[in-house]
Amino acid sequence: MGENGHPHFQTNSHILVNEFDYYEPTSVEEAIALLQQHGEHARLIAGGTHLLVLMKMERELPQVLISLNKIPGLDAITVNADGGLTIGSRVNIRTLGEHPLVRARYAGLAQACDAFGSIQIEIMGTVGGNVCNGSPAADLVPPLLVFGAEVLLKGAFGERRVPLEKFLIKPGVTAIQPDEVMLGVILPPLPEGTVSAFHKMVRVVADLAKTSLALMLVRDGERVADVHLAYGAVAPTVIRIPEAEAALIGKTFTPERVAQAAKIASEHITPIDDVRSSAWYRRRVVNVMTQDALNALWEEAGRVHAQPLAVSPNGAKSAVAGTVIPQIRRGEQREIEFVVNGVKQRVRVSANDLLLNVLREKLQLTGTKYGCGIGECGVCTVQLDGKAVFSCLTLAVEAAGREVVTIEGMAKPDGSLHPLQDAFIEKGAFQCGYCTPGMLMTLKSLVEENPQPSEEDIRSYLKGNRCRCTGYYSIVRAVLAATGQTVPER
Amino acid sequence: METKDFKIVGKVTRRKDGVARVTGQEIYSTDVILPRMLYARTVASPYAHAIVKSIDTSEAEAMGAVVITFDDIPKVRYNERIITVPWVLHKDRYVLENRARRMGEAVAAVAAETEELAEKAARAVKVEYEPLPVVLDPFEAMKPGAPQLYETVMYGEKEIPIVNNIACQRELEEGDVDKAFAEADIIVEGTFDTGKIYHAQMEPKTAVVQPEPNGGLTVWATVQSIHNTRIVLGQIFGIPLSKINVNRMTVGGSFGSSIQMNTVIPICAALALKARRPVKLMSTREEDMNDHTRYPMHMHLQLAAKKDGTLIGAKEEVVVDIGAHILQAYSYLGVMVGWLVSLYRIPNIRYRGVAVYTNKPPSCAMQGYGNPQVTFAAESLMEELAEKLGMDPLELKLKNYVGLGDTFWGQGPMVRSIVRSDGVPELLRRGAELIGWQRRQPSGSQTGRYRRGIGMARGFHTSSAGAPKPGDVIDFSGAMVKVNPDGSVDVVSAVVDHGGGTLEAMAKLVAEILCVPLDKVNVAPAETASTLYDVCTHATRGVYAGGGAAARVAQMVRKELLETAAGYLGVYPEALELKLDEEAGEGVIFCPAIPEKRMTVREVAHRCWTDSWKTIAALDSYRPTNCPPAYVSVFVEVEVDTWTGIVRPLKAVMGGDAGTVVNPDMAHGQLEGGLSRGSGFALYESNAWDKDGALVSKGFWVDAKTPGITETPPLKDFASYFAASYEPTGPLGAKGLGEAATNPVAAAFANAIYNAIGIRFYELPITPEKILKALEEKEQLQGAAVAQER
Repeated sequence: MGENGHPHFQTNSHILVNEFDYYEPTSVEEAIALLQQHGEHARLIAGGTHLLVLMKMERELPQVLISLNKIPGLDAITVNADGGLTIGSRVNIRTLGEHPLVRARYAGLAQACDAFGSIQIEIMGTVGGNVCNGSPAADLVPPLLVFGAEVLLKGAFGERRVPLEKFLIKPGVTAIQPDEVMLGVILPPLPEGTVSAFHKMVRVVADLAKTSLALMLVRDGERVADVHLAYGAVAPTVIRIPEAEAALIGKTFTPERVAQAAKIASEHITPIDDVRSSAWYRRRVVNVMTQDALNALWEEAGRVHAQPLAVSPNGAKSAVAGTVIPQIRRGEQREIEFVVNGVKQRVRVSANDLLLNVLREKLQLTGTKYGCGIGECGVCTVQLDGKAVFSCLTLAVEAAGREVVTIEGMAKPDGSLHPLQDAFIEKGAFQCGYCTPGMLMTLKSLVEENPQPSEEDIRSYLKGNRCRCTGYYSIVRAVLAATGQTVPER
Repeated sequence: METKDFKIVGKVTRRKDGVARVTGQEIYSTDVILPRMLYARTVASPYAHAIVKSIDTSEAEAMGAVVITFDDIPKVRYNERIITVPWVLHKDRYVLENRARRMGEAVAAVAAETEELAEKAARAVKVEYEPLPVVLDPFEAMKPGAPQLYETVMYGEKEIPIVNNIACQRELEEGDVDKAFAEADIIVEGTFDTGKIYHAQMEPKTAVVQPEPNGGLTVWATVQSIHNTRIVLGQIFGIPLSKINVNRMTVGGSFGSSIQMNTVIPICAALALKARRPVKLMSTREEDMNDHTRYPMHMHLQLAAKKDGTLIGAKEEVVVDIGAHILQAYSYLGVMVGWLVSLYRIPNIRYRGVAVYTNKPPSCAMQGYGNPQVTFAAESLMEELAEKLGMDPLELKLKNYVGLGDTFWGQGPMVRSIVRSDGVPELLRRGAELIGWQRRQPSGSQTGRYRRGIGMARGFHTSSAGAPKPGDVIDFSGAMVKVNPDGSVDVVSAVVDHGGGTLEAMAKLVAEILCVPLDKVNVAPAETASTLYDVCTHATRGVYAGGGAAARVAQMVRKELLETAAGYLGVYPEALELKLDEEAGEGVIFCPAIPEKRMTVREVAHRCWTDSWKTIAALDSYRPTNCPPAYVSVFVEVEVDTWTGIVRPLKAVMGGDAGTVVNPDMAHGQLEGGLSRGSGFALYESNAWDKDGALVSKGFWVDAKTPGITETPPLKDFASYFAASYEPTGPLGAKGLGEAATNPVAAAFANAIYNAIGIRFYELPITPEKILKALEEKEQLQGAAVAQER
């Protein structure tokens, strides 16, 4: 409920109404000290894709935001002595999902990253955010739960490790204390031959889960040596269902036992009716998903043999060093310097100014559009340090010292068009054109990563960019043409 | 002129607005920034129904904001949508209300130096409300004793009472319906419901208004009609139209959402007049979602036929929830029967339609203006009829469709014309081939978890609301075309392009007629002050009627060019011809009999200039006297997972009959977009309100799930094509297309799902939840039947 106290008061997703003091500590200790100082009025922020949406909805009205983005080390993925992994809380979804060790050993987690949401959200959103928001629909939590992950927390009284299942309390509530910072999650090593998967049922692409399921399986011949099942969006928290697991563990894998486990799972969940689906439906599909997932994974387990890992365990990157910005107090502005389309810019910003509005209004670069304000449509996409992000969910102060490219910077300075821009005209890949800048900025990132994307790659990358006019076909054709590939005839 | 001889029309060309659109230079209303501009916010009612008892603006004003309330606005009731002639127009709203009838209704507005300050000031306006009971269901609303939204509304200049929230009703009877139903061999019927879904146009509605020193207003705003916007502003504020100038803006999608003058515009104008400074009022997405929806439909439909499949009668009853304000409900009730009798020949028809107020966002036209809803019902029942008669649905439809020579209702009972171009047989034949219609199995015959179904539906949309005589609906367009001294051409028209390429088509038509290369034809920026009236870009009329006006005027210019050249050359104008010399890149006027009698278009225009004589130009208004149907057919193949109810579209084939296709790429784009939006209507999109009348989503774009890029089949499994067709009444043979592309899509999906699993759905969207439930119910019934047999 917002400031006005009425349940149906009018919000404004175009701006961030909520004002706050903004801090950028450079160590976890500093962050903890700030948390202690400001107590329940403070929130930690990293990717911001969840918190800023809640702030726009005015379900959260923090007076203090503490950015974790200048704290080195939190974005690392490291291999532990026991062979497990420690994933820093600020590792983003995309980095996690593409990490070779994660893909090789914890496939269910990588699949959850792939199914997470739009590319932009996967680039911006972090492990810490997804775990700490306490959402029963959080995509990373089911796989982390089946792997027996622990949450690594640090507070004034030191570090502690909390098993993830104890960490999840109820919707929006976890065991993290007001003065604690999540450092990361710890994944234990898995037995040889362990396989895992993640399944998610949605209304349309890049949506929150109606239901989700992660599972991990160890196969021993025709016998199930071990199986873990965790479900999302069907109970107040993501849950494991040991009763369903028990129906299989140590037993021969048969269709009857699979059906039995699925039935138990569908009986143990406590789903609700909401706008995404109904309790009745969720029970039905949990049963189906469980059977489908177990059958598919069982087959996969039959094919998998323990593979030596050829990848080096040093996949982690360290934080990009940036200018350390002192805090901005609510109601005050400070000057930030950043590079926009190759030109150094200095602008005065408030802590609650969004990058979108600074670009559009202070720099009058109106090519970047406002669409939904909450990262659901893609029209505000710009490149930040070469990555596609939603400028409607990026604090302007976060851009300090960094490089932004907008649609106005896509053509060469002499005006010659980027091949994608040219192909968009050639293939009629726009109608009203309002989504076009966001489409093009997203696609620019795609072709920089993948110069010859397949139709499937294109569709996967654009899953979070909505176009209401074209039906998307002409956009796919334009990307194929721009990257020198054959465009199917009409 | 033969279609095949066209040099410019029908060719794939690069859009003139392409570079602006791919480089971020195109300016939409949301992008307008003016010197000394203030930013506005509205004070929105947090009740769906409440009386404003008092408003205290002092705190907001102390913050430096300009504030307006009901006390500051002209006490003029108006309708945002004025295509209906004024004497039968319902008017129920004020610029700001002192009684909120929907969630978020503006009861005050503020303007301040920044949006942040305006937001604070809006929150500082203290409003005391007296909440009233809310009614959200149209059937509840019609019951005596239900909460009443209005005591009276204006009807023309008369004040009329509103009883039981019924905004208007319409009845129609033609032929002898009772006799037809008595003589019928077969009757099929169903009750159909479609949702009050959101347009989801990408640009939220925005207005920028600048007060002028002469007391007038200059407007930049998201609208589909600049002239109607100007007229309504004139009515409300009592300002002569000559002092109101509305600029045509690039519109970031519309789909009907800006068919009326948008609510933000007069609020912004009132603020600008009070502040004496330019003001910008941009809707947030939350406001936009509370502002407008598609008309939902509740319809009971019966079709009566003879054994040979000949339709002989229909009974149709419709209840429409129009939400809190009336936009065009009376005309809408007319098209709800009009679309039906224009889809199939039904000689005997009885119809009753009721439009009901509820405390929800106003329903407004959305792509097809009721046609997708009616087509969903009609094409579902036609498939049912075909199955019961043991006929191929294609055969049944070809037997009964309204085609060449038939009477067609373009826009309800008052707008009738004769069909003169008809690509339907070709559309159905090619569609059947491309989808593999012969692979289609008997409906419901499959077993197993995954079942595939092929379904089709046909449909159409009117091109304009043109008719032989004036009716209730205003429909005409104007244009001016002039040839500049260098031989280039300006086309001046008030037509708004929602993105589909309407203005590009207009340029191509003019280029073709004047034999001027397309890159020398400019579509001039437009404003109401310097353009002739154009009713609106709606009713799929942009190319047919707006382009029709430009083509008519271009023919006048062509004539003047020839006459002028004839004078210079000393020959009779009738002896001259005009053609495009593609090599030289200009038009040439020549006398075939005397080759040296030859001037280029540029030379003629240049000579007129240096002779201090004239600009070769013409302007005129154009009233279409026809409203030809643009036909579309949709074939889809789906796979239904009977364990989860999930529908996967596997293949889609879209065919269109748009007469001469002016912009091939854009036309295919219309079909592609139609498939995507139609699949959203069929399978995904819905809108939900809680008991207070608040959107469950609170207006955040989290639930109105429009299809993303992965929801349609891949390129290799999609095809689109056009019938060879020429509309004799259209500009160079063209008619409309846009809305037609969506109209049959939902019905095609419903029919494909029926073909896969043998269950017919009468309510949209057809979600996995509904499919699974229906499959379980069917199994239980079958189980019970088997048990009984035993």
